[in-house]
Amino acid sequence: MSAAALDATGLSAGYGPFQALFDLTLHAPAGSRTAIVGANGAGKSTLLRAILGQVTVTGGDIAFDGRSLRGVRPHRRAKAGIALVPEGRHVFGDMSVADNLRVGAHLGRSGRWDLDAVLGAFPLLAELLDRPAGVLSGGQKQALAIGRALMANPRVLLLDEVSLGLAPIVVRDLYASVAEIAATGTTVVVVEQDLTQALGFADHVHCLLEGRIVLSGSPDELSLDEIRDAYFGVRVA
Amino acid sequence: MTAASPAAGASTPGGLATVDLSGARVVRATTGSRIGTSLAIAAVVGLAVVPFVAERTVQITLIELLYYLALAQMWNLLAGSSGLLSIGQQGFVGVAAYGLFFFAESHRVPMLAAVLLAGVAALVVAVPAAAVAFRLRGGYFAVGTWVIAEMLRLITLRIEALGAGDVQSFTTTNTFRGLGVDARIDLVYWLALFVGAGATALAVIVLRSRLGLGLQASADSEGAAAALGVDVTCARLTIWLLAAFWTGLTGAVIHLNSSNVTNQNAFSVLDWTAIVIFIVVVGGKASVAGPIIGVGVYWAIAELIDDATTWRFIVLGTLAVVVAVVEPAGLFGALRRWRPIEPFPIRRSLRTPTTAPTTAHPSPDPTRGA
Amino acid sequence: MSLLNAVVQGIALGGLYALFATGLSLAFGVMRFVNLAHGDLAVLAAYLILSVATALGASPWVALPIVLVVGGAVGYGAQTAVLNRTLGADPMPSILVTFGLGVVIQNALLEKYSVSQQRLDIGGLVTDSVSVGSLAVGTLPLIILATAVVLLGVLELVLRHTRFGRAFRATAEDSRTAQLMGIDDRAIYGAAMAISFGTVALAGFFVGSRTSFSPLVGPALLLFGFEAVVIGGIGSLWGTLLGGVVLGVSQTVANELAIGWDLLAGHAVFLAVLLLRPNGLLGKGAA
Repeated sequence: MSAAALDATGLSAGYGPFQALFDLTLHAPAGSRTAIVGANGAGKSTLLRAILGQVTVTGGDIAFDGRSLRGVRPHRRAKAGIALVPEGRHVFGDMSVADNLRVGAHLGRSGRWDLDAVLGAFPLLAELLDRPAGVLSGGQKQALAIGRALMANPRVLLLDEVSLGLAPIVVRDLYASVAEIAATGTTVVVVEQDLTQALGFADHVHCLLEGRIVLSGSPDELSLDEIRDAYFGVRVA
Repeated sequence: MTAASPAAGASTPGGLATVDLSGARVVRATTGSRIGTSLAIAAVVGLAVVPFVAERTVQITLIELLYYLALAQMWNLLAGSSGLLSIGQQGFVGVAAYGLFFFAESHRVPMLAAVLLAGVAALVVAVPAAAVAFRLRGGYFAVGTWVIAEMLRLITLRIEALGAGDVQSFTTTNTFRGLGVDARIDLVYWLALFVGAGATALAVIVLRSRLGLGLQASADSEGAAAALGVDVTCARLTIWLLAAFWTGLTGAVIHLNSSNVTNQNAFSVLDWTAIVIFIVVVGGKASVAGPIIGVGVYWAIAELIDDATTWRFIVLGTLAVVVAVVEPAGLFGALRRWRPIEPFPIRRSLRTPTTAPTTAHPSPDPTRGA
Repeated sequence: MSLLNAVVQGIALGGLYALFATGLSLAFGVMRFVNLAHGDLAVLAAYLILSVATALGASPWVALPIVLVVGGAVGYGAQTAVLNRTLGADPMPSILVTFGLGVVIQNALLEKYSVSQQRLDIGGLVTDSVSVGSLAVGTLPLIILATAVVLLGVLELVLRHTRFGRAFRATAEDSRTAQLMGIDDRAIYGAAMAISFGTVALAGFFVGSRTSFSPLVGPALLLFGFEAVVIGGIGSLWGTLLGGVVLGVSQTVANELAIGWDLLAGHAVFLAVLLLRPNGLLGKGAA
């Protein structure tokens, strides 16, 4: 399945009365690697949940492969080819690792990712297949969560804070796998607090502050200082 | 979910509202609530003189409406305001019915004292009941209270001194001590007025109190209430015991009115819990006015179809199901959405020198009310 | 010897309670939903089987599959059309709606069929018994127990090893994340309610053929099913069977020791389990 483009236009979204995103416009072309950086509470996770239809969108629109997602329920968006690796991993702890991966393949979308391919990308999971996912370590859970998302053969893969709480070496391995995934032609959007990781991975970076994009560009165009200023809310002229 | 209207002040980019609170004070009374309270007092005075001016049938109808009002206010304090969804209120009614029989009929305790003791009996069984029920949450609490009420019924069925399930009557010689029929109805009427108006006053007092604030916070979010420094379990237990006592008093009045006790009727889940729940759900839970409106609806339905109680249950039950799905805040909630009226002084408002009073909701979601 | 007989009768009765509890357990497991109309639905199913059998002039056995299918379809429809709207962090709407529904069903049955007792006539099976040594166990109670065991076994297999079962377990654990896998949680809830209505219709059939029934026995059945779930442990299907058996045995043994104390003893065992083992005999989740 080919990669697809993701476009948010004038997006406003939030939880009940609390608005987290304000008139946000973002374009992720098919096959691109996008990183969204920003401090805690900047609205990064809300943006990803809005793309999946799991928060209330109060204005603007999101288009997937050129088609509006307005009114499309979350499981239908997954069916269209959007996969999210949620913050906090959210593996199904009572189910075995193998069953977690099988649930990932619930839709039966065909493509290059199947059980063997996922175990090839994350060899550490191979020995754990019969374990309940709840007992895995943080890094193992993260690998499982990504593997589970891949099982759906998504056209767009969204990763939320995959490095959070993991050892640097584990993070490096994970990002190496994610880069391979991106190389297969999947559009990848990562939300990341670790600037070095984000800049090393992405071909396009957006900095989010209080629900708005305050800085965008390719990692070559942007200096680390510029991004830090945007990150902490020091206004760039 | 509907968005709460922002409080006075501008919304900042972070979504936070700023309000200038200098010179602000918290007030409970509004023009609406002053009018409402005056009307309520006038209504009680008006109802008190009914026996002197109205037909006997009016009085008999009012007895039923008043004791349902009392039961509804108590259930609403439990479920609507504290999240304690009890389906075992018939247990307290039943225990009080047998308590009244035991004290007034078997032991010739003066009637009013016996009514009080019947309430105390319900209060006493509420303590062990809480020890069990408070281990359960949500739907399990609901069924758990139902099981407890059923156990109380089965236990009274086994007690010889309470007639072991046979019909027991309150006699003129013992309980009523020679009162004539008219005097008896008048007395029961005033007792019903006392429990009905008293339950309403109690609901206002509880909701105004610190306890009430804590309970409303705990109904919305237990964590939030704990963060406010409210001992949720203690607050819930207080309400549970209060509701058991007053439901017991009401149960005693109900049985003075019927002048007999049967096991099935005394512990009827349909009569003492289902109708009560329907009244509160239709009228509007978590408000003092809701049960009053609900009792009005009950009266209208009972008047329209007075020949068959099954149809009364079918119509009222269906109405309650529809309301619970379509308008969880009930008729009073719908009314408040249209015009923010509050006839009782239970809502805290913030009055600042520059702005009109803005009502402070413990819950950001007006559909759940406060 | 009669005590042993009481235990055997109790185990068989436990099968019936487990059959009741299965639907409750399943619905609670996947959507934290307590259906207070569960018992009334069993009674409704028994009356429907009676009416269909009468209309066809056939045995209740013929009417049973029809009512099972209709019950399943109605369960799916009710869940997706109405009950899904009542789900959420606050359990109150679903409790109020199902409680109200139960009361309406009871009174509608009273209106249609009157208060008199009815019975499903399934022939000699009711009086047949199987003798083992000095014990005589009714054939019907054995069939009921076997049905419960088979039903729970099949459900367990389906939940463990099929695509639907995995989607069901994923939704039960974390519906929001299950959506990310393309699982329609509302359809899963609908399926859970279809199974719940179907199994409770089956239970209603057995209640109706085993003893007599009347419009108002639903709440008692609900309480028994609920107690079986809690005694066994919430979230465990085999626990539900064990809970049903413990409840059934408590009732029959108590009745053997002192006639008429069966119901009270059953409730007391429920309370004792709740106080001593709040998570039930086999459960892991908190009540």
